[in-house]
Amino acid sequence: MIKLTINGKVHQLDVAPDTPLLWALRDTLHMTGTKYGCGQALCGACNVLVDGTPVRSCVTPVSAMVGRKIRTIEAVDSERVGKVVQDAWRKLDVVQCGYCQSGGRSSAVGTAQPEPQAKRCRHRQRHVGQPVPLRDLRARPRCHPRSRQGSGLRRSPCPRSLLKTSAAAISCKAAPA
Amino acid sequence: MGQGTYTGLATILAEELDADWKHVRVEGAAADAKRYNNTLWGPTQGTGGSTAMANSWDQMRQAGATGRAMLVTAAAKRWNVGVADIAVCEGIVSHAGSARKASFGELALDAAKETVPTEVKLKDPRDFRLIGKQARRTDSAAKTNGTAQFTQDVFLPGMLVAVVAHPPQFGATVKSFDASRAKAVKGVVDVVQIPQGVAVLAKDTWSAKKGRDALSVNWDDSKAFKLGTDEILARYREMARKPGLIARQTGDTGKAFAGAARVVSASFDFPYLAHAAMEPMNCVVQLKADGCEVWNGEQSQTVDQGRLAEFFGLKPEQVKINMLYAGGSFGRRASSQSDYVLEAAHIVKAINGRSSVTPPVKLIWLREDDMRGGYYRPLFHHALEAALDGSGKLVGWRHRLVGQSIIAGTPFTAMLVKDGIDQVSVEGAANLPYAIPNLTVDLHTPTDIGVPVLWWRSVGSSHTAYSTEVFLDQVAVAMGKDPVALRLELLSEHPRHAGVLKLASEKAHWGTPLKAAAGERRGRGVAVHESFNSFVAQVAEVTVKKDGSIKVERVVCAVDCGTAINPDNIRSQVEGAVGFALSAALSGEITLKGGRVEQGNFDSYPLLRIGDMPKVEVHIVPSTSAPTGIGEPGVPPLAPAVANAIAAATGKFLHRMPFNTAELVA
Ligand code: FES
Repeated sequence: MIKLTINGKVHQLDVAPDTPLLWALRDTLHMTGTKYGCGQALCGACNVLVDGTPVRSCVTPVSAMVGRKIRTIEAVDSERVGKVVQDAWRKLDVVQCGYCQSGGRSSAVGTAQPEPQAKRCRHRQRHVGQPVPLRDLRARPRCHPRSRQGSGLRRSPCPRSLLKTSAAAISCKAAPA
Repeated sequence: MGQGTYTGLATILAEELDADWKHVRVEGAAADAKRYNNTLWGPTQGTGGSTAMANSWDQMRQAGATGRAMLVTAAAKRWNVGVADIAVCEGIVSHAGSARKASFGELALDAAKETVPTEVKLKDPRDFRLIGKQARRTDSAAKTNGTAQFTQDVFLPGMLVAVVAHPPQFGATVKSFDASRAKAVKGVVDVVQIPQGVAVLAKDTWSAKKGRDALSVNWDDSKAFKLGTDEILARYREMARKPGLIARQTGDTGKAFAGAARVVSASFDFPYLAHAAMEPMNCVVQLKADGCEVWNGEQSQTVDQGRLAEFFGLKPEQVKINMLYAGGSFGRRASSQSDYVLEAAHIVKAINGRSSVTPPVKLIWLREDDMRGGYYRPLFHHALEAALDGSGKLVGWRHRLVGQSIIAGTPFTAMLVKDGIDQVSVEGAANLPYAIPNLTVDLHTPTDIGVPVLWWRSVGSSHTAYSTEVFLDQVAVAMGKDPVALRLELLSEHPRHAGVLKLASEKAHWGTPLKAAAGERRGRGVAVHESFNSFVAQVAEVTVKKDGSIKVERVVCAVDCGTAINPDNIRSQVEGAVGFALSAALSGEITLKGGRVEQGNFDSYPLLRIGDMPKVEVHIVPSTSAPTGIGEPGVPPLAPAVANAIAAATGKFLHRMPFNTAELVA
């Protein structure tokens, strides 16, 4: 049994420890908003927020998620930044086929989210975790191909501030330049 | 398959119905060709060829106006007033004289009892409230909060997930396999052989994948296709030395070339391309006592329904296909062979009877299965020649194409193969709009290449627009003419081509200088192309760096697709088309070695990243003609416009896709 905290709720899962968070969410919990696109941390369709940072759930084993706060698309609007991003997405009719949009949005929310670790960054890059002015969100992020890549917004990850945990390392490595 | 149709079709209907857009909900239609026939395809339900708006325009207007008339009649009877005094606005039927009103819902039951009128009056386009305005997408909310249901998201009681070990080469089959290690994986329920390979069935996807990884299969490659793409291309080049079947003949091309003062020639290579939809192919099939039920992001209901019925020995109406949102398609889901749908059916049949109740099966293709699964845009080789006479006039044009037929052997053969010529192989080439007095287009269709091919967003135009439009720029250089001026000269009989060309070049400030930073080269390029009865011109602005790498900064598009039903949908489709086509131009290529596909995921088949997306402007030509295609027509002009911009910057015309930027090193 593995204990995961997802969207503020604790779930006990009977899955192999190497099961990627993606498949635990989808196949075990039937939280299907998070999507499979490549399984190799290449596309971002599977992005969820782990402690506020976008993470590729397809390569993140559930064993690494114990004690972490996972937030999926199903609850992305449960706090302010998520709500603003969600509303902007709808207002602009961003979606087309929409398949990868959950990942794109989680990415955008994580990008726009002020994170304590971002403030400690000395490299002055805009990166995952650093606040993005909301006006940038109005720059019409479109479905294809920008968010086909799973990344709702452009960002340059700051490796040193992100290589803290294995999960963050994955998200950092896979973040598009 | 961005499925703007969920908004587009509803817009047309709601317009004539005078419905309240806020209350419009759309559901995917189950397979039933009697009701949901694509009016352009005969008794076939499906979408493709950018036909959604074109085929539904009259139908949906009629349906909306008919519904409105019946609601009005019902209200008139209820209130005992004349129909002429009744108004309908945003879902409310009202009678001003008596200040009475009723919602559609309140009148619906009565209205349904009225006789269906045979003739109804359609609106004057000047009175449109939704068409041409900004009707919001009907699927935004569900696709924004994760509740939109795709095939991947279907879960049925007792359902098993199947992941299949496919042969490494097209045409190879299973010789033998050992499932003992696979069966030892926790969660794996069954392992079965099917004609397509060996299916591992498990309670969940991860277990099924682990089961497949643990499987050992011996393949019989005696009937496999074993050539590599280099060998295929070498064969095509050889074939291109001899004339093929004539697809178009105008004037006396031989004479024009014999008397030419100058001949310009070039040849072009186009790779196999994968559709790479974000949702890899998948399908849910459940066998029931009285038939079978299928869940799929369908593009081709009637074909899939017929094939499943035949496979299971059922009547088509016993095959219920539930239409779900599709996570992209680009033509892939309209598989003429129903390949992945039948694969799921084979698995269900193989496990049928093994337990008291046959469980429903969700077949999941992992990205690698999807990318190596074939049904590619065919590899093509083109050879072109142009003859200029003594006065420098373009008097002759020869265009030879070599590539597999998408249509031959499919149910569409009768419709689309004429005198041995697959019309979609030569579309965009055989109907070249330019006024050239002597013109020959001919085609070779190799039949011994065992790579499954399929339509890929814009089909033949995905390669013919490139070769014709890049070659025309090469000819323009030889003639010393401006590419826009030359095109306009040759398009005097084609006002819609000329219209978009003028609009795009004007908006892009064609002819004004572009400043380049030190060490960089910049250029503007243009292309215009008609596909699916729509006309698109694009002007690209490109920077070429010293190392040959390129950055497409801006693409100005002008689109004439008849009546613009949802302008924002049109912009979205064209913006998406630019990204899709640029992906292909920069990096799209499926290669084979010894018959094995060398790519498997987005590391080896990269798609355009957000930072490489150019700024796209879309200008829509105002029109009152019936609407035409928009899903595909934005794709063809992009690559040639970019290539022509590169040539303007560097003097080098690129003759293969994807672009070989090594040729551009300064
Ligand atoms: S599915 Fe995880 S990055 Fe593509």
